[in-house]
This record gives sequence, C-alpha cells and structure tokens, in this order.
Amino acid sequence: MADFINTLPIPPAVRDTVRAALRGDDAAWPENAGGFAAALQEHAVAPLVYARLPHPSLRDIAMHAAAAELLRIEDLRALLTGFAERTIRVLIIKGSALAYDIYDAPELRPRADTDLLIDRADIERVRALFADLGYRAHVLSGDPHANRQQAFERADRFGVEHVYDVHWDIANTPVVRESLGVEELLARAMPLPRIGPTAFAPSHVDALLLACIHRVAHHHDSDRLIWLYDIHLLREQLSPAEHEAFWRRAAERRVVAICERSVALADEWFARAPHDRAADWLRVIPEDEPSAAFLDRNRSRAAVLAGDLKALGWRARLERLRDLALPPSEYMRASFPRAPRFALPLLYLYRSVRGVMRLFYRVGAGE
Amino acid sequence: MSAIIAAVKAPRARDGVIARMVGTEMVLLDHDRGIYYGLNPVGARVWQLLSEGEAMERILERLTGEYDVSRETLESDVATLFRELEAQELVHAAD
Repeated sequence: MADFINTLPIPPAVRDTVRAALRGDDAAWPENAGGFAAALQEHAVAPLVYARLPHPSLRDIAMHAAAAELLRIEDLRALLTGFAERTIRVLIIKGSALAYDIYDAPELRPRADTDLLIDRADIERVRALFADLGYRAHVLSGDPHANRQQAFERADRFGVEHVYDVHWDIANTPVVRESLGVEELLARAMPLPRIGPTAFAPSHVDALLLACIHRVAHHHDSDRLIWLYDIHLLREQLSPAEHEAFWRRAAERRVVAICERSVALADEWFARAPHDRAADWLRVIPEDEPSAAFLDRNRSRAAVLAGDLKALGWRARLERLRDLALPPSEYMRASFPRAPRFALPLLYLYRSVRGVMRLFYRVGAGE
Repeated sequence: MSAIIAAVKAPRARDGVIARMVGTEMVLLDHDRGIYYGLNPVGARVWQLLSEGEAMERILERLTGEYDVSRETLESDVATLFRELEAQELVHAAD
C-alpha cells in the first residue's frame, strides 16, 4: 500500500513568495526569511525556487542537485543502451521523463529514483539486464495483486546510489492500474532527445493522466508541490485538442474526479486563472468513479484494502489476503535483516499484529 | 601582475571536469573523483571564457569590460581562483 507523504507545510511567511517565484512573477524574500529550506526540499521545489529567486539557504541544495544530475543521466544513458541492445521496450515515466522534457534544466526536477515502465512479459529479461550491469534487485513482497513494480539499485564508483523503479503497470492498486495500458502508452510514446536516441516517454496527454493518477492513487492526494507543478507545466504544453483528449480519456478510464482535483490544485497554486477543467470539455461529469475514493484522506487503510479487494475477482481476493498474511520468508528476512533465522515465526506474528493495527490508521496520517 | 597570472597564459579545463550552470553560478563536477565544486557568478564567467579557449590576458580584458572593478582587483581575484582551481587539479596550462 503506497503511503501519503506528510510533507512539511510551506511556512506562511514565505508561501506567497514561493508561489510567485514558481509562477514566474516578480518576487522578493521577506526580510529575515529563513527556516523554509527543509519544507521546500520535501516539496522538491528547492532548486526550482532557487533558480527563480536565489536564497542562500537553498544554494547547497540546488548545487547538489545539479551535480547529482550529471551522474544520474550518465547512468541512465548506459542503462538505456542495455535496453536497446537487448531490444527491450521501455518508457521513462514520471519525474525523469518530465525533467528532460518540460523543465528548463533537468536538475530543477529533483527525484529520488528513475521510474521506468515495461511490458510485464519482459520482466525476467529486465531483471537479467540489471543483474548483468551490477544492480541489486529489491526483494518483492510476493503479492502480485498488490505490487506491480520492482526497484533496482547500485552504488557507482563514487558511492552515489542509482535507483530505478521498474513498473509493469501504471499503479499498484487494482482500482486504477488498468486505466492506462502499457501497450497503448508505448504506441503513443514520444522521443526524449535530451536523454538520447533510444529514450521515450508517454505523450503529454498520457503523462498528465499519469501525473494526476499517481499523486492521488499512489499517495492519497498528497499536496507535494512538485507533483502539482508537473501537472501545471504539462497543461501549459497542451493544445486545445490535447486538453479535450485528456478529459475524454479521463472519462473513459473513470478517473475524472482525481484528475479534476489534481488540476484544480495545480491551477490554484500556479495558473493565472482556472482553465481547461473537466466541465469545459465534458458534457457530463461522471459520478461514482471507484478511483474517487482515493480523494478521501480520512479513509482508513482497511477501507483502502477493501477497495482494492473489490476491484479484484474472488480468486484474486483470496490470493491477496493470503499473500498479505504470509509473504515469502525471503521478503520477511529482507524486512527484518537483523532478526535471527529462528525468529521467523515470531516475525510473522509481529507483522500480522502490526498489520491489523495499521488497518485502523487513516491514510492521511502517513506513517 | 601576480605570478600565477603571468605563468598561466592559456589555462584549460582538465578532461573529465563537467560544468553546469545553476542560475548565474556554476557546478564543476570532477568526474574522475566524484567531487563537485561551486563557482560564484564571476568564477562561472571565468570558467566559461577559459572553456571557450580564451587566453588569460583576453579573459582579464573581457572581465574588465563586464564588471565594474579595477584591473588590479580583478587580477587578484582571478589569481586566487586559479590557485584554487589548480590546487584541485581542475585546470592546467595548455600545451
């Protein structure tokens, strides 16, 4: 279950300044402004704000982001060469794709990892590729109904960690993971020449759908600013025909409510005025979309689980519950690396008790 | 004229050093060592000029025209910068 990200709030004293800077308006830091760097870093907008309105407290973050980007792109290009040599189709999605498409400079779009989307049928070949290039695969929970991604990481010769999150569906939750299929995304993909000749990303319309779905269905309507800024920039790129295509596709895939919510927040923060909203392009606003449940931050984790189970068939539901209660021992050992081997039964018991307690947590409370 | 300015007539960036602008400043990544350095706007401008292949005298002339500062002050600042760049082996004199 993906988590809500409890970002530090942007301090009220600099909120308008940050907003103006990100909008590209004239702005100046209030006198004695300080103590906001950590919040901007959590919202992943520190380099962007620094580029528009320098402040000494943001300098190191911005410089580090620029240096890290130089190493990150080198690693990604080498990896893409491996994909191309083995004729494995791959899309760069989310932050990395947007960083090299709609941002003036890639380091202005901080990210912890690089997200890739592949065809499920290629996962073993992808695992072999990462292994051959020296990456360590993260152990999976053994629950295919709840997990459609795997992380791979390696430290380069300087000790810098390179992490790739490889997805074979657009989301883990069955409520929305079939909203956009890998094949159709590949068919509509666009090149990313700033990365290289073999780099491709979802079209802007698809990228906008992914951005809206991700921040709501994966992070329970988190208000992290960089995700809203992605949405704002993507919308700025769209032609009227693309806005229409976006809303039509959102309606077809039953994600209008979460898209409208995401677009509304992005407009509120960054747009001069609301524009190209669902009501502008759709004659009928759909109701009762299952995905709209993710907009409720007060939902318990039990309700989220129930929603996921409802989206599955009976057999899959039973498998999901079994895998949730009894993940593979390899996964348990990876989750509790310091525990002695003989303690495994106790760890399963501990996990069960903790899991049951967590079912009562609200998603908006985070961890 | 400082000794280093006189000695380094045609400074060049060492291979393996990658530069990227961050606003008006610059990050230099020493790719061989995995270390990065930050240059202030004047330092960034110096690096741009030496990357364009400008000789030291020409760099000083260009900077004198771009910044409201005396030639002496500029020479002193540039000399300090080059000493630091040399100490970190980020530049070398051209062959």
